[in-house]
Amino acid sequence: MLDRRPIFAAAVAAALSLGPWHSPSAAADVSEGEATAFIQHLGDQAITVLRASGRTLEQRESQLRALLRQGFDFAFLGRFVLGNHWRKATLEQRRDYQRLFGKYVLKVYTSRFGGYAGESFTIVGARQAGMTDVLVSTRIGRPSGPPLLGAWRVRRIDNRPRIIDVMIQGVSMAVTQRSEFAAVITRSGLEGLIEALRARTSKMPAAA
Amino acid sequence: MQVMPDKTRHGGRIWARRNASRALTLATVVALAAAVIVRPASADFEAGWAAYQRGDFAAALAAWRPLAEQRMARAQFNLGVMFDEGKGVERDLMRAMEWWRKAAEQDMAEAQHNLASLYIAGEEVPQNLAQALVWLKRAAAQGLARSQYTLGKFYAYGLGVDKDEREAATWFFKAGRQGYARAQYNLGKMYRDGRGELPKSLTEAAKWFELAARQGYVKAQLHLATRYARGEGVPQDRVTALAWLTLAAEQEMQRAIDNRKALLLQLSIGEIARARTLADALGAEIGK
Repeated sequence: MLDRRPIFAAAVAAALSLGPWHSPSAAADVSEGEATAFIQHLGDQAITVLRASGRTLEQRESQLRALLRQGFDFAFLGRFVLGNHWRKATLEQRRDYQRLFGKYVLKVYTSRFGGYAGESFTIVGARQAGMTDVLVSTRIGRPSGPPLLGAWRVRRIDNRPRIIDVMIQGVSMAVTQRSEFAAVITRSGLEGLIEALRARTSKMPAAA
Repeated sequence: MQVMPDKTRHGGRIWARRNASRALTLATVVALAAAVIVRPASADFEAGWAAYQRGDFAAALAAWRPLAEQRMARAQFNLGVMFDEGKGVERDLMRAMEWWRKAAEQDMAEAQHNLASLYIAGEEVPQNLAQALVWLKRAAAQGLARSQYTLGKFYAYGLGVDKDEREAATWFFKAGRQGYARAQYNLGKMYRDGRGELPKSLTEAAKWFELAARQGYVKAQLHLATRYARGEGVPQDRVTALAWLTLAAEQEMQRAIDNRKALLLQLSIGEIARARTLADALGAEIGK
């Protein structure tokens, strides 16, 4: 995995900028300043949510997910991750998949953050990535443990900045999920993937 | 730590009384010592829970791990959750499975459900529907609504079992009566279509859709709106339809957004305003 990382990163850059749903639009692409401000604002809101007192961990996590849902373009991301299988899916399957996909991504990528309080969120850089995107790098400081390094790929979609991929410790979430889902679909079809996503997102939470 | 004296003879009773008081003193001393050295498990568990809520996962782990090793099922279950979600530890589904299995074998329903979920999800653990069913059935039999609903789905789709819509309906009822929104929604659909040997009944369908819709379940809100728009199972009421579509659209459900746009074109300003008020009122109820 380690030695394939640079190739994956390049593949992501190529795939995401040449994807069929990249329409050459009249609106300007997102600028580094705009993308940075967007991520900073999201981060500030997230910290506020996580620090809210009088709420259970589950409530804070739920609010964090609702917040991130606004910032991500799951429609785009879900289609990218499903790849060729999207075309063959029925309307019902697409709807179920998109709903569960969003739920799954948010759950996996926020549950380790849900409990955080007193963390720091710092933007450490932003650079153009591909023709239309900006990659905003962040460092999330944790009280117990090394800081988490993440980069958010931001693109202007429908005239506003949206997150279309996350790199955690240098690994693209979209690419990781795509190969993982492809394997599941090969084994048990799209319905199998949908049931698997359902199972992954319907576990009982910790018991009091 | 009780001395059981022989009480059959008078002499025995005196002996008993003297030894009983000595035994009592000894017992008191031991109890006091125990209270100092060994905290009751529940206090440690609570401390772990408080830490967990604060987000101090390291402390939660430190509190729960020894309890889990001493076979406390809830602690075992929670450790599993932390491994599953990567809280304070690297995400590790095999460890999650180990801990959930231990709690599941002690008959903790929530652990049985989560164990089943791992077998369905096929993430690091290869998918195994037969095993999933074993644990789902045990959790469902104990009354866990989520498992009852999932079991209903298995029967509805014929996953690991022969497709059996009547059995599916039975399990949806069990979960639905406990207030599980997804089960209520599925019952709504079954009544609407007359499946699972249920009579086709739009009235019953609307009733079950409404139960789920009032809990905020977006698909039910959409279906309920359709019933009101067409007057199926409920008196036709396009204002109420619009209200439910508005709530569903707020949850970004595309079909609701589309249907809402279409309905807006057909209603008067007054009707639209009334729908807005109703949507706000319904939304406030759901938010509680």
